[in-house]
Formats: sequence, C-alpha cells, structure tokens
Amino acid sequence: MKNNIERERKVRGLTQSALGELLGVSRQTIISIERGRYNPSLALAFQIARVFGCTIEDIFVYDEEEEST
Amino acid sequence: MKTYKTQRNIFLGVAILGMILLIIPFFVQSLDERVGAAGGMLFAVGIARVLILRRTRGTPERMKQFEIQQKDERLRFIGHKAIQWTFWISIYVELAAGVVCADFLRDPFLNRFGTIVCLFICAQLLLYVILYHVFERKY
Repeated sequence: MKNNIERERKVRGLTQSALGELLGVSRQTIISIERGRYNPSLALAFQIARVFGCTIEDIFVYDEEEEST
Repeated sequence: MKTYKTQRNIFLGVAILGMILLIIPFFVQSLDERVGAAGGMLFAVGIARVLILRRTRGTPERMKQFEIQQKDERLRFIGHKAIQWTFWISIYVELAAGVVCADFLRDPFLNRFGTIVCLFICAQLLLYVILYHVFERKY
C-alpha cells in the first residue's frame, strides 16, 4: 500500500530507527512499510497516524485496484 | 514472542532438564545411554541459548532492540507465513513419499511405512479442518 510515511518522517526530522523506537517496531519494519512491501496492522497504522498528528487517510493511500491485484 | 526473562527461564529449564537426564544414567544402570545423550544435547542447547540471551543484555540499547524485535508485528507475520508454507510443502512432500512407498515400491516394510505416512497426512489435514472451524467461530 502506498503511503507518505517517509515524507512525514523527514518533515519531522525523524530517522527510521527513531520512528521505529517510538512505535515499538524495528527499523526493518519501518523500511518495509515505507516501501509498500508490508502493510501494517490497523493498530500500528493508528499509532503511526498519532505519532505524526494526522489521520490514517493522510498517511496511507488505499488504491482498490492495486490491492486487488 | 516471549520477553527476555521468559526466554531465559525457559532455556534455563531446558538446561537443567538436560543436566538431570545426563546425570541419571550414572545412577540408574538400566537406563538406555541415549537418555544421557539426549540430556547432553538439551543441556548444551539450553546453555548456549542462555549465553546468547545474556549477550543481548550487554547494553540497555541492545536490550531495548531485543525487546522490540520480540514484539515486532512484521517479524511475527513473517514467522506465521514461514510456518504456513512449511506446513503445505511438508504435506505435499510427505504425500509424494507416502504414495511412492505404499504403491510403487516392492518392499513390504516400505509399503507399510508409506501407508502409515499417508494415514498421518490424513490426520494432519483433519486437524487442520477442525482448527479452521474452531478459529472461524472464534474470529
């Protein structure tokens, strides 16, 4: 799933490690999520949105066509 | 995934069990020597894992990373996916081996072995169906 995590993270001056620590996940998980290789759970998606102070829809871009393939 | 203390206690328990099994044959002569061998293996594995875990306690940073790795949802997802694939690949390989042994080889022992393997696969698949229905009700 496409997302804006990398952009939001850089705007706030956070490294992948720092973001991972804030969320309680590993740096590799942040990398996988940013590259769209791994879709986070709903709980983790909410945590990410909370850390950035915005909504889930601001962070994650749900493309129905892309998800069904 | 379990935390540091839980894992340490589990592997310490394994090491202690291994030590007991290793020592018992010296006092009970009638016991098979394989019991001591199994005990030695358990002791070695338990101690090795405890020492590896102790290394993670080296610094608070390493400990924090260890705890994060234990709870990381992506790693849990990867583990579940690996178990899923292992299960299905094992089933097909066992089935192939069982059918070949039961139907295509002339050795009666292998024929019987192949039949048992095929029955075992049936039991595994039955267990899968039962668990599927249990989880379907739960979730």
